[in-house]
Amino acid sequence: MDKISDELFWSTYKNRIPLYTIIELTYRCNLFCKHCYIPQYYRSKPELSTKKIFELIEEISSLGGLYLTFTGGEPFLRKDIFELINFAKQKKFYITVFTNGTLIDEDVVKKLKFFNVDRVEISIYGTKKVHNKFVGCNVFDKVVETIRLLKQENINVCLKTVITKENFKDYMFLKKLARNLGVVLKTDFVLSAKIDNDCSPFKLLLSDKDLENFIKKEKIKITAEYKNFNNFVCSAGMNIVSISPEGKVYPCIEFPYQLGNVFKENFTTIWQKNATQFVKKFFDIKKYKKCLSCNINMYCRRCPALCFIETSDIYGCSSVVKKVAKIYSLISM
Amino acid sequence: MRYKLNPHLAYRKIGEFLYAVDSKTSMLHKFNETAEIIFECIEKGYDIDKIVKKIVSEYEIEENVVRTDVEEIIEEMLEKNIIEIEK
Repeated sequence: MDKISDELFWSTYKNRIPLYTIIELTYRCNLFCKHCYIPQYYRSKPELSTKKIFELIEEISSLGGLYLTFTGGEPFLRKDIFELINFAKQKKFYITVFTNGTLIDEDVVKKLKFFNVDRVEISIYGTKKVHNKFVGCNVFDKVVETIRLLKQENINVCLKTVITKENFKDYMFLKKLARNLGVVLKTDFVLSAKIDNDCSPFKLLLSDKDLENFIKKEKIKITAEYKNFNNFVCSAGMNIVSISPEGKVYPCIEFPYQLGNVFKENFTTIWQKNATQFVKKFFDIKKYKKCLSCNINMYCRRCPALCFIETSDIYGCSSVVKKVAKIYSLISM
Repeated sequence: MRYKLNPHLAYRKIGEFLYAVDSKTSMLHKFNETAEIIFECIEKGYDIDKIVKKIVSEYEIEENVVRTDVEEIIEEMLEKNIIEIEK
């Protein structure tokens, strides 16, 4: 992070300004990814109207929000997606769209270019066979074509993947694919439970041994900010906020602790009142007794949301995160 | 000569300062008070003379001093690709 980015992060963190906002436009999706945190029965849930999203964008802009991400489900299933992008661009947001890349044709690319979308992030999980099996549809070739179309129009595009027991052997393939396409590949290997607390995505986690081998082989390094637990930082509710298709406001997209609903209160009130109470209640480092006495805390990428999902206790211990921390501690020895 | 903002900028006044991020370079810029005024004037389509006039009328500083500052800041903004010359 450069000096100005660092300064902006900390000033918004300390002053609790929603610098980063994620709006889940829909739970609908045309794919069936195995690790998805959205249960399939959520796909029929009601969605925020165009007008309501415009109101939210206005409010977030007034509060100092700069980075806005549209995600889903699959955001391109919304017919008003370009109206929303256009409105947010008029309000001078940096717009990122998370997509599976299957609904983007030449016409869509032209519109993304026209409206100056700042970034498109596309999920990809492996070779054609592995990807198609993982997402439950025969779409790999279309996704690669989408990436090429976006690159041709000079649109900022990046790939992202999550490492699971079903695709970890394809990691080298994904790195080469990204290199050949001239895009960055973002990798994660921590899965989340579904938002209805169904922990079935955890079945996809690599075994301890495979994860250890993977981290060693790929030389994945722990980032410096986690090396001192006392400097533990979580942006949830501090300078990050997430809004669901049903209008529920969360401290971050992974944190199923509802701060309010924009159909009952306006967003500004939820942010300034409810989120303030939330962070005061939850983000007190002294309360992390288990973590403070844990001998591998310096390797832990602690996530209060994952702890809350797994243990119903924000100060609890997430087995998934601890597993990764253990491996880092072993490697560091 | 007229200028316009780089169309790939996203920007916001956050706390006391204006910040702008260029999506093509991911570069984040922070503006001081004078640069912020100039940025806003360019957004409104003002040329240098009009920008200088506005600052002189609001801050009671000598015109030649303001003009030098404005020209320097505009030059810097052009170098950093924050603004472009309008053709």
